[in-house]
Amino acid sequence: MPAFAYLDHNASSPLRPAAFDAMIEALRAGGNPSSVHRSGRRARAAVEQARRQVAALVGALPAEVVFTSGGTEANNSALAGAGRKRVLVSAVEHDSVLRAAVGMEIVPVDGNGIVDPGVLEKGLAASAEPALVSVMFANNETGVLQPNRRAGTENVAGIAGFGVAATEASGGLATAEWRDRLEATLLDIAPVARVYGAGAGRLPNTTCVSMPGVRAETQVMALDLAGICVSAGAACSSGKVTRSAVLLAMGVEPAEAETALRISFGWSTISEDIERLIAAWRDLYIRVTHSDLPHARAA
Amino acid sequence: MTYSAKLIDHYENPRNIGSLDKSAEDVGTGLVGAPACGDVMKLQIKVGPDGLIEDAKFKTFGCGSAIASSSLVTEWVKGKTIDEAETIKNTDIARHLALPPVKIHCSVLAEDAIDRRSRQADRRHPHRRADEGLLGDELYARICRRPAADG
Amino acid sequence: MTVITQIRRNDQPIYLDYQATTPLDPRVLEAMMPYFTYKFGNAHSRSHSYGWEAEEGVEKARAQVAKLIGADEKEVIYTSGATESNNLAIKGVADFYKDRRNHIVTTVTEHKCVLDTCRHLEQEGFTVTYLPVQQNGLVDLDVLRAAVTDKTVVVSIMAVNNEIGVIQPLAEIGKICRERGAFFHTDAAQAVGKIPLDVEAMNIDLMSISGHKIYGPKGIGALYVRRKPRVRLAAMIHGGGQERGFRSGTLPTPLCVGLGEAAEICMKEMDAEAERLTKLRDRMLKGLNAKLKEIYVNGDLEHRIPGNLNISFAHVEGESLMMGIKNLSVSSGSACTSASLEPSYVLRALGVEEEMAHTSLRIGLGRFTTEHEVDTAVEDLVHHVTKLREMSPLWEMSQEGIDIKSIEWAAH
Repeated sequence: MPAFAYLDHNASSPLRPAAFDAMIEALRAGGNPSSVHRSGRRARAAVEQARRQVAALVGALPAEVVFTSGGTEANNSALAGAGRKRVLVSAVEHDSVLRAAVGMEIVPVDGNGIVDPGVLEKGLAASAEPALVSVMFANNETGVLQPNRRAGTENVAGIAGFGVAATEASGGLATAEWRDRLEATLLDIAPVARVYGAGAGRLPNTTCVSMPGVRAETQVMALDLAGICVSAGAACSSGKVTRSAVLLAMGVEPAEAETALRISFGWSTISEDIERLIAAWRDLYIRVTHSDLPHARAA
Repeated sequence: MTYSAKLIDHYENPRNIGSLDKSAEDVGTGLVGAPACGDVMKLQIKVGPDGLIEDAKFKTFGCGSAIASSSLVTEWVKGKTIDEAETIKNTDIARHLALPPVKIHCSVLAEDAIDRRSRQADRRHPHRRADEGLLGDELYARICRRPAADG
Repeated sequence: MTVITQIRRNDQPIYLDYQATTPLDPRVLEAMMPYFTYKFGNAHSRSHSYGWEAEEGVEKARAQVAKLIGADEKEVIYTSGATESNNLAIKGVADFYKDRRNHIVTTVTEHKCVLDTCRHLEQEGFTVTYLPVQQNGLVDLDVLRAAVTDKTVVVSIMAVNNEIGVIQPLAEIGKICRERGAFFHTDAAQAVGKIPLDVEAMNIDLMSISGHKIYGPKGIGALYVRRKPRVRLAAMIHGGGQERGFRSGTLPTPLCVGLGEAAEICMKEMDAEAERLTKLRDRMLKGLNAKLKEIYVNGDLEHRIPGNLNISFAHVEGESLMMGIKNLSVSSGSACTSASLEPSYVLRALGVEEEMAHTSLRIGLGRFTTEHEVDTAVEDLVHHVTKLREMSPLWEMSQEGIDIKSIEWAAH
């Protein structure tokens, strides 16, 4: 059994071996894709191959894919760079969207974290000014999928790796079964626990679940001691465990939101990781609900 | 940018490099382009008593595509009459060598050099001035207007 | 020897374009490997050891970068590269201080990303002074002094030029800026790790650094932002508030670690490497001069990084030469603009005539260049320049004593 069960894939997911291989090859090959000599042309070919792979994953044309340094830059570029005066975003967006521009209009979500298309349409109709609407595909904390309709520079190694990862990502995502079993087991242990966004379509790898009466910070520490890596929400600059703005937007009471834990799987997750999590979660829950430990009363 | 095998062959093994005696009666000289534009072509032909081009030579300062274009036209014009030589079009040269789009101007230059040189040979009046003759401002604009860089 | 074969296989051309990019040093790759594999955590995850481990790697690297330029590690901000650093530095200070100062000073030989940033700011209402350079490529300090006013928010002058490798008088420029209360930003992508830099001694307030120019990975760079006296910037990328709020986004841990390791190696090996490269460069120039007439080095040869040569081979067009020397990877003009047929704007700024600019090659030597490669390159260059001159009408005229300038070339 590995030393740790890493169940925080939504914070950062380990490189897939194939993406790793592609990156190492590109790192060793070198070359500036803007150079016209052979070394440059080879680097350019790797970049364009990756662009096609990424485009294929999202059903776009390669020419529609622009490489950025990451999601934060991409969100900033899209929102600030689109040149629209009116920007409507959902209340559960990532900070890189919420802070990309000033004066954005926030569209509320329902108890499942879903944007009501009717509310959005009303918001859009409020002004004739052309608007940009930014709604995330899947939420980073709850995994809730929005009812999106599919719309029809250069770090060579990174890009090459991304391309391969994109190809593999479209391969197998069969973790929903694990997730459902995990949630059923946790609710069995603690019937008062709550799974957020359960009534909505969600990513199969993510669950956001509360342990009533136990602060998320306490849960994270206890699980870490048991060799399990999970998180209490988005990894941000301060590292502070704050109340999730996403859960608050879904109408969850602040005190309850402080008890929510995010568990996310990925390609490297094995079923033993989940068993281990269940055991540790159960131990913690029994300990705090059957003792007078101070943190049991914390919430 | 990738080059065709034919282009590379003409660049690496250029045909008919050299000079003919420009003061000879039966030699016509065409000098087109400008050093500041990055390409200058000198093409010369020797016209036999039967009116056929019996020899052709070139010297070119320019990119590989310009050199290959010059080399190719010297091959093509040999054995032709001046009228026939003048029917050679830059598009023929570009197609034959599969010039990349940014290099099409090189073949324009070659076509123009045939024109100038032919006219001169015809008139039996070789001349060194480059701005005289068939090269209008418009054509120069075409030659010197460089396509925008990619990134 | 094993190191060299890892960098270049025998069937690959000789790489002489170290100003475009540098190969990743195998030692850097080795330092990055754990962070690509088992140390994959998010450096901003504070709830488990994967995150702490990643953070440790990122912070160690930050200290390594800071040390190389004489800065405090808190003053180093990670970015995606020098282009982003330049954008953030110039737009960031311009935007933050726009109510008090609205003038920017730069030079005409800056990298495109600085010039484009300045042009963008002109559209936003800033005034920009583009200083000329002298024939040797260096800025005239008196001209600079006259240009900086009490309305100048930032002076942005590159440390080392990417095409001709000349080193600007940074300490003197920094002194002038400090006297006038203007911030001094320098794009040091081509200078870091090659020449000693000290942000304190040189009064540098903002410095852009690139990973892939110092044998580190692509996709990573840094911006030095002075804390005392404090330089404030308006952020361009917003989000989780990482990097002191100057630059949000999850840090690419392996790339950060690579940048740090690359910086440390440069620091350790700088002196010996500068000596070795100077010898190689001199050997190359001597070899070319021995066999070829009418070749000219562009830019000052004394105030220049050791690994750069920019040479005009009179009467031989640069692209045709590049096509001939296909076993050598060099560039004609800067890598970003070489797909265009325009002669280099940097060379034009030195007063190099257009026809000479068309005959120039940039040759970059670096850490993995060997004496044998230099000799092979000289042989190759001599062979092809000679061959192309034989087919050049301009060379023929010059040999006949005809002054090319006396010919009435059609206007263009």
